[in-house]
Amino acid sequence: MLTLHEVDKLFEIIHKLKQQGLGLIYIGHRLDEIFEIADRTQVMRDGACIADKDLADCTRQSLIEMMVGRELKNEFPLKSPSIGKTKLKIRNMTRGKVVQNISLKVRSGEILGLAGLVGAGRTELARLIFGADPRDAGEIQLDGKMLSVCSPREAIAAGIGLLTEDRKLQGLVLSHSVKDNFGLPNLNRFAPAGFVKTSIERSEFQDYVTTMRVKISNENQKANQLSGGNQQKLVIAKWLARHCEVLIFDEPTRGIDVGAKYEIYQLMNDLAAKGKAIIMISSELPEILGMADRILVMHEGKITGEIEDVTSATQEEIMHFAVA
Amino acid sequence: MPKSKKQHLTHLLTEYGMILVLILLGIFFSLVTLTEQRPSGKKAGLQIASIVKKRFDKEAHILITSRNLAIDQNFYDVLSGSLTSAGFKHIHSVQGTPKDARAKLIELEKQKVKLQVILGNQTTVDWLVFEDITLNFPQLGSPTRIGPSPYKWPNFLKKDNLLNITNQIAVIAIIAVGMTVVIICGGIDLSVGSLIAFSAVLCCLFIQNTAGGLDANAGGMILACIAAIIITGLVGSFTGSMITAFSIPPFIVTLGVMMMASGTAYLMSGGESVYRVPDSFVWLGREASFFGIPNAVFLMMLLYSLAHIMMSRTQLGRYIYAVGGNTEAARLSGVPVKWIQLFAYTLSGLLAGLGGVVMASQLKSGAPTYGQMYELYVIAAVVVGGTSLSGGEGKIFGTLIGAFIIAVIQNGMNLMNIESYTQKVILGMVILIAVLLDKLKQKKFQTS
Repeated sequence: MLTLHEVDKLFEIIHKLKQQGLGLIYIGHRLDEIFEIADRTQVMRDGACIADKDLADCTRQSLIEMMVGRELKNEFPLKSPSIGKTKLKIRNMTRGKVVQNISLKVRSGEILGLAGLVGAGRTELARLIFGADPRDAGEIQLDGKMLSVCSPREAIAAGIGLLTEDRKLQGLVLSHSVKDNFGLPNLNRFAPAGFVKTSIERSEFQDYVTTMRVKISNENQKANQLSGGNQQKLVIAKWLARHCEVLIFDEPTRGIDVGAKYEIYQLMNDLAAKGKAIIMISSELPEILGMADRILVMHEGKITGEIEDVTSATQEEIMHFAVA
Repeated sequence: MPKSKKQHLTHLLTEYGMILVLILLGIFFSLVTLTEQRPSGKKAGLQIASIVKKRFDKEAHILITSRNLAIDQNFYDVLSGSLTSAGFKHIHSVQGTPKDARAKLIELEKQKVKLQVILGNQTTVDWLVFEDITLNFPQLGSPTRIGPSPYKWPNFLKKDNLLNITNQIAVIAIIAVGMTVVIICGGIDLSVGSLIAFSAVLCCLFIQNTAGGLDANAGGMILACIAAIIITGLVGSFTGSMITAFSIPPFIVTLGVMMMASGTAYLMSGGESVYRVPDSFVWLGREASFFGIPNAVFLMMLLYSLAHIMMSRTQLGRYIYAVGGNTEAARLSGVPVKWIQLFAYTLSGLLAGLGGVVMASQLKSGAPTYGQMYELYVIAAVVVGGTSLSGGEGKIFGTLIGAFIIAVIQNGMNLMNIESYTQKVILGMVILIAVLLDKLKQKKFQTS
């Protein structure tokens, strides 16, 4: 991952090379970047070349459609949120300077967007809620009941799931099979007496793979052989099977192509429709604006703003809070 | 997606490659140790009896010769018993040295016996006194000499040798179960070699000082063994808690424990061997109570089966693999990482304790010098067996095969009279080749 500054530098170099008469092939899925530096584009999908066009003839919309393979009316799926009563309530969560005295609540059926610049403490907050890091102070309430969560194991048992921002290093055991990865947080259920009932595990795994359209060759395929989108779906599948009441998505669409992004958005909406409470951390402002029902903005470990009415909110408004 | 022939082959090689290596080694050592064998003892007796029954009538005078050795006694009992029951009437016998045989021949000559056949095992039948029998004892006639007929069979594949291999490897293989679990879990345990000595000394001291010494009964000895194993297991727990509580690298912690355990073994024994234990203490290490399989080997097989089930079928096993594969991802998936690590080191300690008890039983004493360098042989067995040192990958039975590969190479080189220094060099090379193969295998997987 490059920072914005680094990307500018890279593009500068690319432009220089172009002027020297070099031909360059740039592989990427960030459409803004493609439009910025490319002259001609080839779209690939499922291992085949779909189109070969001058970029001048393309729009963002048409590129996405070619990538996804169907007409895409919207980058974000439509939804009709039905928000219930408070599910998760955090009070005075504190850890050193990274997370300072944060209180928030998420209601069932709600997607709460957590916006902010990199380093604002959003991931750290998520990890505190999940028990992955020790907290200095703060309490967690689920459905009005106080939780004494001190480890991810306890958080999971209570019904909280976390999709980490780095799925390769924290979300999956890459060298293990997709089925084993799916089963890992669910072994309490698949192995009630300590012995894994593989038939239950296998059939449930197949169910999720089919309904979520995870592309795998077989259940023993290693997780590192999947594409980013399919890896992310696999991580989501393992938490869905856990029937978590609260799900925290940390940068759920980072490094994922447009088609899979849309499917992940849809999954999040379905979950919300089922009454789950969802916290979504994202650095992409259009994504936050398109998905969240309510937005909290963080800056230097504190909540600096809340946007209740997302439909009329703008990126500038969020940025205003984010740089505080 | 159907697998191609080539994929099948690579799959087969990666899953069972080491078995193939073991078989090839077996074939190689069988070929180079192919030698002329002569049956002895009971087998020889039966063979000769059947020849005699076919070729001679019941009135024939027969002389059976043998030495005063246990195996010859067997030979004699079987042969004479078989001939008597077949109805042979004139069976003479001599047991002892060629001098006794000469005396017997003189005696037979005096009785005017016409001797028709002399039977003996591979040694006695070739005694000089029988070679010149027609010259020295013309009265006896010219008896035929029949000994066991030779056949070709590799020394390597003799039953005794194979049992010897398994018995020798039992201690290393038992400890390697624990080591495999630790390494799959992403750690390493260098203390197992010293823990062998620690446990062996402890066990023998318990028997000598509290269970009644030379007069200790079975119950006392069993309690002493269990106590030694549990205390060694607690040392393993100590190692595990140092690693998990303070996040010290396992290499350093187990290095420290290795030195502490070794030093303690010397202190407890005063630097000497503890040997005042009853003869029956060797039951575990030297005897074979079930179907002719040595007890230590039986125990080893049992442990491997249990460990295989644990690693492949249980939640615990899946957790162990996950912790070694990616500790952070495992923790964030709700795996109690520290407990799993603690378990692995405790298990390793318990099994090192058991290994120490088995070795004490094999050698009928406990000494602080036991188990030196064993940690390296154990790790070598695990690595040769295909377990990745970076954790998360490996199979229990792979380790058993790894242990056998090392044992077979050592044994084969002994049979070929290769000196021990050269053996060390070759063994080191084998370990390097195994790791190299593992690397190549992983590369192949990543590109396919």
